[in-house]
Amino acid sequence: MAAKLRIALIEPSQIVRTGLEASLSSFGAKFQVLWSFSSISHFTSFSDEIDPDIIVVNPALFDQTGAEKVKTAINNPRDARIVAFAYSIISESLKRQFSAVLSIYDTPSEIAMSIERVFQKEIDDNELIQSGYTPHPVEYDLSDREKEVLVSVAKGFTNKEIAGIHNISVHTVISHRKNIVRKTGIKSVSGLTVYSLLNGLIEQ
Amino acid sequence: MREFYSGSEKMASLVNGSYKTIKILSRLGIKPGFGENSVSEVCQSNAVSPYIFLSICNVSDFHDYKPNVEGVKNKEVSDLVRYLRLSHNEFINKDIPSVEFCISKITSSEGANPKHSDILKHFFEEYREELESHFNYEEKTVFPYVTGILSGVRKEGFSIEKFEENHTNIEAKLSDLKNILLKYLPAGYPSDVVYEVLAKLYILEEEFENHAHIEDRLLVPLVAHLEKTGEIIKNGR
Repeated sequence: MAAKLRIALIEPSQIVRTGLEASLSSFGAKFQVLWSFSSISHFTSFSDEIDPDIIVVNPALFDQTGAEKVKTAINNPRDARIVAFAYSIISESLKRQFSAVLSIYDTPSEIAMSIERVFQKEIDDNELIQSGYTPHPVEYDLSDREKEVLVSVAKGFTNKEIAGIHNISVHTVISHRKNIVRKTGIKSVSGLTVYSLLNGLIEQ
Repeated sequence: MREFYSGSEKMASLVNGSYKTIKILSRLGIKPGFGENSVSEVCQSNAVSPYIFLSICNVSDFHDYKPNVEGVKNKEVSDLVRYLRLSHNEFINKDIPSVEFCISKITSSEGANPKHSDILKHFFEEYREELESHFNYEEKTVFPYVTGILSGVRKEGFSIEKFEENHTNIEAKLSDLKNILLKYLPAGYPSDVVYEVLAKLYILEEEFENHAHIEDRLLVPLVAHLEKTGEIIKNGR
């Protein structure tokens, strides 16, 4: 798993800052709010010493006309993603300058998901492919024959019918079914149907 | 190996040794604050039969436990029926809704594939209906039959043996759901919620298994004994 995302907050309201810190820290494994600042100048005075992955900032601290660019207003030498945390509507030209815009009415999990999404693409491109990690292995360990039998089971055929369809003995069907249950851990026909649908072995 | 629980041991040490008894205490309405009191003392001061409390704990924790059915009293069997009904209520009104809430968080999450979400929701829906009809049968048919016997009336055309024969397994599909989420859920779902629901499913599966043991290994032998020995008026209907 990737390291925790390091977050810097720039938010004038102490109570909102505390709330954001607490909410993001409740997703303990994902985020670390390491730095909090009450103003952009406060942040700038430290920006050479810190290396956040994400800067969460109140967009009200910027020029709404978008004339002064967020990237120039914030000294951001390590190119952290900049995410807005807005209490109210912000102008389109300002909005475009952020990687994401969070709202004060978002739930903590919505905020966490939006922040993660900012990084998702990068993680997909780098780490996962490099480590050869595929989150959803399609070719488990079912043999082709077992998959065929599974499809027939999911379609609701009896053992005898399945034996006829695949031209094998009922005994063989039973032994395939035993192996399917052993490998997947799924016993009920409706559970096996869910398995087949999730894996695209059959269509709804 | 440990001996079965007995009425003379301290209630607090029984719970310390097997924390799952907390659920049993809670369902039987036994209040905490045990001090140094024994199991029998605590049960008696809470108007619960120590025999039933101990039998439920023993069936739950020891697979080779066989209850002593001789001399069982009506009050004890009715305590047991009350316990089973409270368990049903807890499963249907508390545990299943909390699993359902997690499932809906999963299926409505940002990364969810609507097709997959429908399949999961449908599977869970189907399971809940199955569960409800399983409990319904016990509530409408089995328990009234038992309370009938307790009041000396035996309904014809039914026996507790019949219940035992047809007692279906309710945890198999739960275990399937667990394995589907654990092994085969496609990427993109919120893993914190998936783990949360998995933890609930493991506990619930164990609870269901236990519940079935109590019905099969305690209720059935007790009622079978009453069928043989109790003074029963046969009832045509």
